[in-house]
Amino acid sequence: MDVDIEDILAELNTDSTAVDYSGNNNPLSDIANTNVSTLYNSSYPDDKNIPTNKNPPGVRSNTKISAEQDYSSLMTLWRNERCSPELLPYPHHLMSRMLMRIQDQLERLEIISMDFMGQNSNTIDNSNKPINNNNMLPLLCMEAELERIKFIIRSYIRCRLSKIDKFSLYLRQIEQDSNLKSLDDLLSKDEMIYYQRHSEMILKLFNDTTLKHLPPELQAINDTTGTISMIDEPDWNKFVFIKVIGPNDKMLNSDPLLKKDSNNKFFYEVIIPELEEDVELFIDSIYVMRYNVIKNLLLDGKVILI
Amino acid sequence: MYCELANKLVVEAKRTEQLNSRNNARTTLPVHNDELVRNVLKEVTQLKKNLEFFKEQQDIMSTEGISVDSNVMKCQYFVNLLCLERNKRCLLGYQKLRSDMLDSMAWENNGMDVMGSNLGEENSNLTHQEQEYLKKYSELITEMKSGELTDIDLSGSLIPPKEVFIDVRVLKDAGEIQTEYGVFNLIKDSQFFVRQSDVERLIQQGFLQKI
Repeated sequence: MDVDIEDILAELNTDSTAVDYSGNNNPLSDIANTNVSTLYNSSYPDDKNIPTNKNPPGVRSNTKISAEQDYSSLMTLWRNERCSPELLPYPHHLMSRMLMRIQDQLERLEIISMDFMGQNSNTIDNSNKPINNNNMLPLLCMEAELERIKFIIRSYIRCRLSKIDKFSLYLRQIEQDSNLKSLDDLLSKDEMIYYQRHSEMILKLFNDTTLKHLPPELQAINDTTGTISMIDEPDWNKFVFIKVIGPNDKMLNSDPLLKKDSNNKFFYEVIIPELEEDVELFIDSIYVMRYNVIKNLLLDGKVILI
Repeated sequence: MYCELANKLVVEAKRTEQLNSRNNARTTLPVHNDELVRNVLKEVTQLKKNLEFFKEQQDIMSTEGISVDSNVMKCQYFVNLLCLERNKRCLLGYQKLRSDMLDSMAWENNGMDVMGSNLGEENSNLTHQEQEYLKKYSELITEMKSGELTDIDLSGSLIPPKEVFIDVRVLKDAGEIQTEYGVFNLIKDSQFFVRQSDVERLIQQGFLQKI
């Protein structure tokens, strides 16, 4: 008779790993982890002021926060932002944590390299033997890693800024429409400033060069009553490549949207409105889909763009 | 015909766009076509006068109670209005393309070391409104960099970093330039093996070549 004891074993495992985690871990990530938790606790009350309707993928208050996890969710956000036609909500919590971590790491790097300099001068004082014992490798790795993370954030922000430029009139429409979600949710503080000042500037340029020569009824820059609407909306029907990854925590049975087919595979069902056609999105497979069809799944973090 | 000049303006805008997409080095802005724009604006004022005239006519007719072919009048009015709209579209499109190019210029060589010099060579090609815009936009970018994102150099390279150390060759500029991470004596045609993050700015400025 077969007795399935997987769950009992899993229980035992959770106990032992808890001990393991605290004991063995390389010192660097350990420092990072402790720092992160304190950082997170300290920064959380500030962040609570920002209203968030939906948590972006990876930023969940109940999940444990680690540097590694944050990094992977940042990668996902970056990829989504670059591929999606619309501006996605700004991850306030994640970014503030990430920026703090970068600052921390920069300081630590400086201190470590100072130590190196000190040691070097000491050894030179003693004798001129070559210094092999203090290895530069960790320092180099840390620097390279920092450069990479900075690159990702830079690229992410630049991508968002270009989208803000493109959709500035549309964003203004959102701002004026009170029943849509607020811009604070969508943009960070800096991006807000950028958006306001840049649209002001552009408006001034257009006013000075052309608009003031036109009759007053044609002077609006956001005219929708003319033959062509002047407000650039995101192309909601753009085709994007998606990968279905399923719910974040892999608890397949807890997700109400998931369904099971005859082969015991899980899938989401979405409907393409124009064709009135149902599509089954199986987990772990890749599709080309219209953006508006999968928008809600994307915001819930159940699919990612590639 | 109506709007022919504006069409020319758009064609010119298209050509500059193609030129810039082909040689992907640096965006160069051609001279602002002042004369053409002025002619289009002249046409616009003419159309504007027409519109006013039609309005007056309609008013007179309605007060006098004459209902002579009001449909024809409406049609005339409408054609004029559409022409005005089309001119507006063309003018704004031309201006928008130029301002977009100014934006990319501002991002490309912003705040590296010499901020003031981006108003140097292209000076003659810009109208003074555009110069003002460019100056303001550069200010905005520098402000963005000093905000929350201090540690992230927003105008830095958008090419992902590959190696920590790279080989660079000095192109044409001599003299000691970089002083941030220690002094490099940049002698012409000499090569260095340096950290990438140190020289990124110099590569963007065109002092160094070859990664």
